Amino acid sequence: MKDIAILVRKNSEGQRIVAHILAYRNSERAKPGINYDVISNESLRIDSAASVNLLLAALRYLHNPADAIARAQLAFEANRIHKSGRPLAEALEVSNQALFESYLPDDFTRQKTTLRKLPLLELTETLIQVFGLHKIEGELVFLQAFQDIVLSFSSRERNDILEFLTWWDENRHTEKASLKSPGDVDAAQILTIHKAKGLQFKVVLIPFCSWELDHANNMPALWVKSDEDVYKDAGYVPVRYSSKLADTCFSEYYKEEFARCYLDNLNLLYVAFTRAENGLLVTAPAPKKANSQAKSVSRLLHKAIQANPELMKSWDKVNQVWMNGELHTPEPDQVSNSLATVVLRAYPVSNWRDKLVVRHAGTFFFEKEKESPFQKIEYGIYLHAVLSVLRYHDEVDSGLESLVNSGLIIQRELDQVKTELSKLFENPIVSSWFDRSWTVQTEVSLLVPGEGESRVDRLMMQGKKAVVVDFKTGVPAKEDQRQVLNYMDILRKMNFTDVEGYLLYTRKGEVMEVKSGKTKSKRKTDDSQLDLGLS
Amino acid sequence: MTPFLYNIANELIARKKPLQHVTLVFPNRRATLYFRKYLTDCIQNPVFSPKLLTIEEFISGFSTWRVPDRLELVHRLYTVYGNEVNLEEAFDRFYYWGEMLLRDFDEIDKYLVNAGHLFKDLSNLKELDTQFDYLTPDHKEYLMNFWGSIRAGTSENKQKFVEVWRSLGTVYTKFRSELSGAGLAYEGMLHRHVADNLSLRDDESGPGEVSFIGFNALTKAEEKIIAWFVEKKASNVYWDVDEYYLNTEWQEAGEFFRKYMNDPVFRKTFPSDIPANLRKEKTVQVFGAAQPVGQVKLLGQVLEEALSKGVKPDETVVVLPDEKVLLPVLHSVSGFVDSLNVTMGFPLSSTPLFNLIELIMDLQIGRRGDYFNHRPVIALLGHPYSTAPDPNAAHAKRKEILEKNWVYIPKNFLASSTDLHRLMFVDTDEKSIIPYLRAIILCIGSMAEIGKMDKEYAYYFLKVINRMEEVLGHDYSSLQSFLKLFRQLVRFQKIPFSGEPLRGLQVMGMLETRNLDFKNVFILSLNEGSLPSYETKGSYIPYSVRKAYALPTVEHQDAMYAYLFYRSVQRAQNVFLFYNTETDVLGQGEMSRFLRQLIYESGLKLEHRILNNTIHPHQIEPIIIPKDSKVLEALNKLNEGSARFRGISPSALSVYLDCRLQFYLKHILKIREANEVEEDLDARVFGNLLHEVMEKFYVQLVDRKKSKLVEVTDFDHADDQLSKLLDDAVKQLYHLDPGKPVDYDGQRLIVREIVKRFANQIFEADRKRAPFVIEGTELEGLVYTLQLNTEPGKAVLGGKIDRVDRKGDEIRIIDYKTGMDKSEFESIESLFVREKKRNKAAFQTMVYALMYVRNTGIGKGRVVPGLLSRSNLFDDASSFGLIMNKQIITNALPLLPEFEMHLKSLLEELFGTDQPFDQTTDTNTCRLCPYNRICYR
Repeated sequence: MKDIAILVRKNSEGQRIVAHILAYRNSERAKPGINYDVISNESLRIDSAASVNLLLAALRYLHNPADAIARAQLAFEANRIHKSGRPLAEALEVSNQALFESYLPDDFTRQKTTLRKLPLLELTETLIQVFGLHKIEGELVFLQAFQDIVLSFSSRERNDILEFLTWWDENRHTEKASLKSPGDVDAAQILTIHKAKGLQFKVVLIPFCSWELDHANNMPALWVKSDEDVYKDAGYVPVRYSSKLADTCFSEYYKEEFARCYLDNLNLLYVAFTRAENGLLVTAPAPKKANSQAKSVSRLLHKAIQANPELMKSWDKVNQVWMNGELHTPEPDQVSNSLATVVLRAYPVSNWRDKLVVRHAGTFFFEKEKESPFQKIEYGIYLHAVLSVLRYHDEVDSGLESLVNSGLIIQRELDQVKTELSKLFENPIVSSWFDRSWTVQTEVSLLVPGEGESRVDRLMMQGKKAVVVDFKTGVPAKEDQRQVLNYMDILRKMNFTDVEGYLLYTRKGEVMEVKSGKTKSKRKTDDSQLDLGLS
Repeated sequence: MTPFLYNIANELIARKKPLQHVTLVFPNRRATLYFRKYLTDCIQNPVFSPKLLTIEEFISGFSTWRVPDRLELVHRLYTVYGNEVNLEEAFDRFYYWGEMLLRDFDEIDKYLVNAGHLFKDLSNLKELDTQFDYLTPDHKEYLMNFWGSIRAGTSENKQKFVEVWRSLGTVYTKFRSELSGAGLAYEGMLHRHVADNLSLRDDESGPGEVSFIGFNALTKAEEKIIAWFVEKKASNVYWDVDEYYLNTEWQEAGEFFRKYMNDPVFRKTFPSDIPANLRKEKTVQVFGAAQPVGQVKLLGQVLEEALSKGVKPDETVVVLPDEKVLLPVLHSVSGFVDSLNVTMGFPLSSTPLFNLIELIMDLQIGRRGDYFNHRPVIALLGHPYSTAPDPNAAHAKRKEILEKNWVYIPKNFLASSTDLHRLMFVDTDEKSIIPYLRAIILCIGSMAEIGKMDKEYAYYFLKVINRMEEVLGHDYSSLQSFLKLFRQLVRFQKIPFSGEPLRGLQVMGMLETRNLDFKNVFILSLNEGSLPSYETKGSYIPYSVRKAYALPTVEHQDAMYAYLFYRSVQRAQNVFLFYNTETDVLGQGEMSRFLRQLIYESGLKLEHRILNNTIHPHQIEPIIIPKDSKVLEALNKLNEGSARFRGISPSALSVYLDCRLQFYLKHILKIREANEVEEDLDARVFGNLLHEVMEKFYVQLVDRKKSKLVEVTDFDHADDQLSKLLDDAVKQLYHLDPGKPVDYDGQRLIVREIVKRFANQIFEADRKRAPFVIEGTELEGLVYTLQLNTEPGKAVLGGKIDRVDRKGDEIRIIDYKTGMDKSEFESIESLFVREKKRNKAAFQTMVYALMYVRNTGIGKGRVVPGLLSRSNLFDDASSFGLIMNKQIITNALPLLPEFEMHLKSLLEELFGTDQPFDQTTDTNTCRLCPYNRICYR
């Protein structure tokens, strides 16, 4: 099958052929064991699929819930695709909201608002899931193709339902909205003559070989100019191409375009006829009148055969067939190889947002905003960030600067942050941490076997002595102490004999020493639990 | 096969030395994460972690300079450039070029190129020989060719190029000195500075022991720095190579390594036995699919199969050379794994907040004084954030705007009901746009009705806005200029995903795979353009010049991608490769050369398959609505009068003749087309205006004269009256302020002229006909009950006749037609024919004639139905009246019985039970049918 190409002049012809062959394959006339597969990148329209129409209706509805036609279409398609058993017509009555929603999945009705916030591609992926389209095998090809369009649209244009729908309505009849098929499978190809330029096939079929030599419809506009009085000062004006022009002062333009058009169409015939390696089959309507003018390529062919005695020898008058040579069944080794195929059984789609979230820094930020309405900014929040880069007293300025650069503080807020910081340093314990007598490391990474990394906000060392400090932005919690105790524990295992631990709550500047004795027992239970769990 | 990084970690721990003074330098952050994990796998007790740095962090540790963000750098460059070359461009227009120039400077420095020489105008080729003795003859050749072609041409573009080129050297120098003066640098500048000053730090304590791990394609600066450490500090360099591409001359993946192997310093850092993993046995499966989504969904299926056979998600990576497919991939794979980790972020430009801001900018840019254009307003009122606090308020506003057909909406109407609306619908300009947007974003971020994710978006946008204010202040030349810059800044911003970084299925871009090894590797988009990427970022420095100065070129990039590809599969056991079988319209994007190489050169056994789902055609089932009791009940309602609906109109009957199903949808179910603000003055609006004007004219005339007689003199001031009537009609249509004059512009101006000409033409005809009597205009409420022989026994017709007038015994039934309607038809029967051409206007006027005659009971005289249309108003030859079978109808009375008979059987069919509502077979009718989507037509 792969060696066969069917060439057409226009996409619409291809669409007719595809529709015909597909219908034939599914009809009783189809011969068992025969491969009727055809592929075409231009001839299969996506919006012939129920699933795609359902998605589009859902988009229209989400865009404007009051759009009665979208409502009708949505309920109708949902009913049609899931074969609920309710009469199709009933689904069209959508003025009653409850009745309307009874046709739609609960998930859809419930998530309407959330859905609208999704980017276009995610929206359609989610709709596929919500409407259960991903399990309908016959629809998968169309869903894929539709999603390809959505993907390419949303990476190119504004990510907006209305924009997409507008684009779709303008392009739904064009090649852009047609199915794409992989080339390397065993199926006959349907393509336009224009696309076939430069390609070759073992056997070529040309149905509809009867295009007009002159412009047939969609007459182009010619830009013309004339020295005749009426038009003298008009410069170039557009006129519709028509044979009437032959008798006007624009006849030169007409003749030129006429000749060009004939030549184009003859060239096309040449291209079509020269694609075949082994066999060429052409069908065209016989001319109604024997001696009519050769205005189309079919009549031209007919005339050419009739006028040439040599060609007439092979002309079968009864069947109106001209044949030369014989069509052989190709030897197996002459058939092109095709690659093995794999079939998509379902369209996998699921909600990634359950498994993965975007990082949440914003929630906290706006919580704080709410507590103290906009203008007044609580500076304690920034201290955590400053402290995590600051080692010694003399590094304050550079630390603040890096925060400004990251966009978290505005220059004019700087002074306030500085003030907050010096308030914090009034506490002698805190102040002593930033003394040069310590070896200081911030954001220290400790490796614990099997557990991975523990990151300590601040570690100060002198010989066998170690002080660990953890900065917290929230309110004091038990969990915080346990964490610091854990750090202290790790440090002891690393042969520090004198280990102290502190918590610093930056919002209120509160410092808390964490004593190991008090909660030691707790740690032990933790450990034993861990042991139990392992054994 | 143990991962590359694991081997090194193991080696490090095996030395049993403290690690805190060891520094390990990696190409990227992800490599450090994995390395740290491998370290904890190898240790017995807690230890201080060694310093794990990216090369950028490592290098910047040797400098006190700070690297500001791109916005600040480009802005500083803008100032320097502006001083140098008398720049007239606004910053937003400069930004793109500024970024490009900055990139060029960055590369020049990273590759230690002499910028003074590079930016020299060499169109005078003599200097080339004398000054540039450090260039190889090959490289000189490149320069000669390039400058030779520049010299040969005199085109304006070339002149311009030389002009800009000459200034770049100075800009480069000044920019650098300006930055260093402020303690700042761009990355390349910093790298170069460090590379050039390394010797000074020779005896310092420095970073202790340093090793460099997994590098390829080093910049000259990096090369110099690493070489210095190798020489002076005996640093180790760990190369992640395979004999397959290292020892084969034509494998571009090994190009850089072969160079380093010949380098006197680096030579000794290569191991004596080069690993040979790539050609060890592994399963390789290749899948082709048409278009990206096919690949992505097939990936889901193949992954699911692999997982069911025992493949562990933790040992599996999905590599995306084309980042665009990230979201489809997430949807496709997340159902099969418990957790996944993604190194790429969520694009800020895909967020609803970005859409909102774009709409707000549309709103402000399209603002006229105190009025906003309906398009952004309607869109904003429907936006999820805008409706969140009070959905009903937003909905009610939207509805009112549609009902009033407000093209421009006063801001006071909008700026009410919710905080957000009060903030959005005020006027702002380029000077106050920053605080305006900030207030809106803060308001959204603080709304109780939105989700965590939404707050996250708000947070990131706030950061962008703050940065813009910080660097640029409030100085924008226009709102458009602000928007352009804003878009450029947002385009590449991503919100990071959070998740346990090393747990579950890993999804990453091609660059992130460096140094990492997975047992199972899936790579998508193996097509030219994605891998190798064709993404060239643009540069001021032409190819030949780049070649001459050994700056990176396309070949450089290809070699780098080749390495990334081979490296990512070399230690894997199961490899799954996906590509798009279809090239794009330009024939680009065929199967990646690397994939072809693997298939044909590697000798690996591959399984190659194509995704092909058979297409099942749908039998599109016809839609047929049988007339059950419910439908019949609804049908009977057509006969009942109501405030808005009186009888069945001729146009409804026309619809029924066109397509029974369309009639059902439109007139039984009353599914109406969605309301939209009519801004464009389409044919319908035009017709409405003409009808309105004509009606008012005669109503006022009759009122004024207290008589229905129309005389010649009545048209003396018709023109003035017309203008006023038209103004009123337009004001009414668009709900404009009645007190203010109408502002005709653009399309409205044209329509005004057409309506005027049309109306004048009618007046002219009427003046010629005067005196005559106006019997009625826009006759509403006229109904006629037709007796039917079948259930329900009657049918009520109704409609609105445009005008009835009388002169002598001739009564004219007039319909104004602004379209292409014709007066001609073949026979009475032809007015009822389906699925062929039918004269709808004639049908309509005949129905009116029937209604009028039956209502008034006229039995004698002449009744002449006809159109006042384009064809007979503007063509002197034609006269008033319908034309049946080429004969003008001078009296319709004799035709009415036949007409009524046909009408009756039509209505009997409509009300009868035999004929269901079905679809027309003439698909031409469907082209303009609002329901064509339901029928798939």
